[in-house]
Amino acid sequence: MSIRNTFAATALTMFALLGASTSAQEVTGNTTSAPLFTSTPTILLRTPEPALLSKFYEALGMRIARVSERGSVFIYLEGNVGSLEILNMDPNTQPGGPKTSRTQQGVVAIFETTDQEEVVRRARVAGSPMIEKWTSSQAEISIYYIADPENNIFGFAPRHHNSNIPTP
Amino acid sequence: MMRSNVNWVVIFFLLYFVMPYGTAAQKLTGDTDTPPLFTSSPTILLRSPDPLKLAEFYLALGMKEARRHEFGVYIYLEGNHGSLEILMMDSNTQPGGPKTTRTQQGVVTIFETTDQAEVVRRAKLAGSPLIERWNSSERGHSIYYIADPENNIFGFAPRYHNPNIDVP
Repeated sequence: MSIRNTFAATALTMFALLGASTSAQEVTGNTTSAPLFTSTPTILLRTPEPALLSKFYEALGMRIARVSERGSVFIYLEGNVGSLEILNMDPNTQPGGPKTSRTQQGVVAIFETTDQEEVVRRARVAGSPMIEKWTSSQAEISIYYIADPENNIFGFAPRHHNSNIPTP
Repeated sequence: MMRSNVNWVVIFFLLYFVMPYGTAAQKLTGDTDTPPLFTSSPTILLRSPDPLKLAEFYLALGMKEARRHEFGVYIYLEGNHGSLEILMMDSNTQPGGPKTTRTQQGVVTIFETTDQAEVVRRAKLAGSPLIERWNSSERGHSIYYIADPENNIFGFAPRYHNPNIDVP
């Protein structure tokens, strides 16, 4: 009987402690169940003219999967592991101005590709205003940063360019 | 016997003269039969005048720091399926100004997460200047667009939000 009471008291105390701990976490913002961030499959690109801008990416070799009624252009990466979606920009906003370096754009997504040289060649033919080569001092890889005609910059790396990141 | 020899001469002619000319012509016009493939978008770069300070916001959302040095902070996604690298911005450039909607930023990356509501709760606590909910009329899910203190916007979607895209 005494053992049973001790067990019940212990259980009650544990419940009370757990409750107090949970409310403290809610107040400080530190919960034990932090959200997980599992992938970055979709890149959105905003422009006043999605149909026109998409021609540049098509010229690089990307394949247009579909165009919506609103004029949004959807490009899927090889094997459907991700997408580049070229959408309408807010009518009161303009694309960013010209840039002389990759470090002048806030958010830059890096695509992996099977043929960097061919991407660069096609970007030149398509009139890219900026192509910047960056070479890693640690690994023997280069990433080409290429601006489109509206000065949006993307990186183009060789496949499996980061040994810490498993990619298709 | 004579006809067989003629066939071999024709094949030789085609292989050594006509096909290489075709490849050279394709290189000049930009139309090759082997366009590069784009196989993933695993790495997102975010530029800031103060990467270590800006990284605090993303760590508050629940992202996990893999490593840091004086120029930036590296965050790996769950299972190392991608990375967010917060790096130094060009010293002559400033982060973009305040935005009132997701459609005012040129390039927006969408992260998939296991707990959108928790990401939003943490973003509010961390002082995000913009949280915009967008509802898909086709698929029934929502994507939350969240700005960091330097007005960079990222999207946060539920896992497997696009059935056409294979994600981890």
